[in-house]
Amino acid sequence: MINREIKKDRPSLSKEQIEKHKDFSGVLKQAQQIPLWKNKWFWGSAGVAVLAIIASIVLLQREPIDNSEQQVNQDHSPSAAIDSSYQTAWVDNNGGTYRFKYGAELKIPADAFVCNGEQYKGKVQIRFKSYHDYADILANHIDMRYDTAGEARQLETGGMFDLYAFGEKGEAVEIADGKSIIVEMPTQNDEDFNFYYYDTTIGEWVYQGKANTLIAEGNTKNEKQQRSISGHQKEKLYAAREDCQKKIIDLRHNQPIKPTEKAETDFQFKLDIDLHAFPELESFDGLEMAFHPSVPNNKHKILKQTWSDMRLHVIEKGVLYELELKDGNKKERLRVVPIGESDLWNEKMKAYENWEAEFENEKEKLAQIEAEIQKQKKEIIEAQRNNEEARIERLNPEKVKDTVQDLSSFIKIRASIDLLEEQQKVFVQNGQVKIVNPKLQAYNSLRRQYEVPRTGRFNCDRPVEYPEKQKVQAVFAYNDTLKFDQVVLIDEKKNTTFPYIMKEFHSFGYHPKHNNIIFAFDKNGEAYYFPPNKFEQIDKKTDQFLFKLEPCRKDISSAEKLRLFISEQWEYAALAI
Amino acid sequence: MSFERYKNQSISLQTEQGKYHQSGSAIENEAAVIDKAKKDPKAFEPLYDKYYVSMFNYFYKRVATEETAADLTSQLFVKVLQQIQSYEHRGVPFSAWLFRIAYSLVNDHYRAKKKRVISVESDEVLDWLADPIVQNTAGDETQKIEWAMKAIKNLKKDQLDLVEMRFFDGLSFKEIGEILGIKENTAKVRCFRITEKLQKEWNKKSKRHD
Repeated sequence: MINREIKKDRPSLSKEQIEKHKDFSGVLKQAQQIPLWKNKWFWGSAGVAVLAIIASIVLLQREPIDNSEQQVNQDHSPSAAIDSSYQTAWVDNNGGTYRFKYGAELKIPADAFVCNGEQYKGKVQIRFKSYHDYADILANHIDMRYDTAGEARQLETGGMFDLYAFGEKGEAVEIADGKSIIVEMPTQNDEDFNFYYYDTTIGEWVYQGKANTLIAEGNTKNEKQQRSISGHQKEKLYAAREDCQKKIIDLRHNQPIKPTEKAETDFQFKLDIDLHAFPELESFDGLEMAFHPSVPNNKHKILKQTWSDMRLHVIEKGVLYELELKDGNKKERLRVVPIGESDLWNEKMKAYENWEAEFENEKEKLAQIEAEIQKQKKEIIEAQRNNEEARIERLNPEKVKDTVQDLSSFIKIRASIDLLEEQQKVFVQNGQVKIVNPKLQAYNSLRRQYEVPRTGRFNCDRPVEYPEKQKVQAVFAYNDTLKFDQVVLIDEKKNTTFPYIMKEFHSFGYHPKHNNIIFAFDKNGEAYYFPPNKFEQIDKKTDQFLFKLEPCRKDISSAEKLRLFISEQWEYAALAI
Repeated sequence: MSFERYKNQSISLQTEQGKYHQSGSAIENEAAVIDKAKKDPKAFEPLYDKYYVSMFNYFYKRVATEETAADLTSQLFVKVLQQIQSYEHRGVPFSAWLFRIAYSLVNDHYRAKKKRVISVESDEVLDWLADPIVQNTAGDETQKIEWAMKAIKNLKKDQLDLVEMRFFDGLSFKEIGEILGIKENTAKVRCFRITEKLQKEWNKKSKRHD
């Protein structure tokens, strides 16, 4: 219970009193001082990157370089019982298409890599790892927290992957400017997800655009491969249009005055000009003046009149002047130009022609970008229409039962692939799946495609709220001896994990109509769990519950094994065992 | 006097509907500063200067000491700078985001200290609970303020949050909606209900004494 104290008519502080506390540099310093280990994504991303580099150096020092499969062990999980690994493939300068376990496919263009700004000529080792579901998230201990203005949310994934590239000596190489690797991988549904890149320098996910879905070719007779431009491509186009528009505006503002050619003028006349005052006109061979083409013809007769005063004003030296004529109250101001051979005139004309060429070029570029944007907009509309048609078709169970994908069927299929592969010992070699797994086809039926212009960690996700349908004041324990302060809830309907650190959460929430499972680890990394069927024991009328966790006696030391274990638990719950 | 105040208040409520306490161009200018700050945190300084005093006052009204308010204000801006990359400009003033983080920080502070401070001004209370018909005497006003203090102390947490933001901080309903994650109209209706309820209770109580 929080006590309340009312302060009535409390003397207010003056602006000066308040401002004496101001210290922007102190705030700046504190904001930049996040210890690496405290960074919530360290274990999930920077850790992966750093350890991948360390692992590669160690491996490459010990082993000769060849094209065979190298399994890079990644023990970045706080739970030592859980292990994970990268899949690798060697790529030469010609690029190519590479398939990885669980249906991921990488299309790498030719000459795709650079090292220290120079194009990389040797072979490049791609290290790739895809994460698809909560088992991958938990096994790799990926922190899916998303803090928006102090509100705790979790990111639900539609597919996540790490993509790193290393040269023959283990040096990190990057994707060249203007090149992109196309990554395709299965996803559980075609709902609205965003695509993010994890920027390790700022420790944040950076929005790349909307994630696109595409349906694998040949799954059903009416399914067409759907492709639409990725958010990244779209943003690049819009940025190019903006740049182009800015440049055109800029060019317009800086348009030079076009020097007038003799042919453009009706007649020329001589003016008695003091060349000391206008030295630039001295360079004109056979200098004559003419009216600027903008001056109406009927004004030309003023030269026949007598004027008591005549002045010349510079508008642009050697190019354009203003002739001011006065006689009593009569006054005229007319634009005049010098005519004749002159280096200055030639120089100004050249500058004008250069400007004109650049201006026309930018206009043409803008027109091309506009046309491309319009074309892609049409493609998006067409893709959306096709998607919608395909979705309707998929939802018709009579037609395409196998291709309907929700999270639970997605996980079940993947768990069965794991089992089959474990039994048949099928692994990916040199980036190619050795045996075509029949289950893989259904698993691959709905895919997402990402255009990746850099290496790093990428995620297709959306924020979801913590389950709150049922809330209890919870204690998590094993026997009377072990009490857990941190547990992880998995809700079968959400493709994420929900960690509960009981110091931060004052109650534990879950959805009573969903399958749920809780995991916890002791300090030795031993896993404990609270099975889905035991959630029924929670008395909905009481607001307190002691979750008695059980030791996890099965091997869950990899994402695959963990997935099988969870999948079994869902089955037991369905059978009410 | 109170009738006039009430009239003015009702007029301002009508005109402010759907609005922030800032113009569209000011909001856009802030968005431009934030874009710069995403690349270089030093560029955030103009917004730090702009909001420092108001955010300090927000905390000062809710905590026991000047030092705690200064500390929370500092924590707020540290958090803002750490999270600025995730800020997405959606046409909402930057202040709404600031208040939202401040709201969350001050709630954490209450939980840690198990104590909530509520600073009220007598005038603000009278403004808030002013009766459109009945003109109170000075004696009535003193009694009313004392009664209101107790009533405020007994408000539910979410009611108190609303009253503080609306009547003591002077935020618009749209801003309150953004901070509390509720619709503008919901904020408006809830404020109206709390006020109406308290006015009725006060009228009942004062009639009993008559």
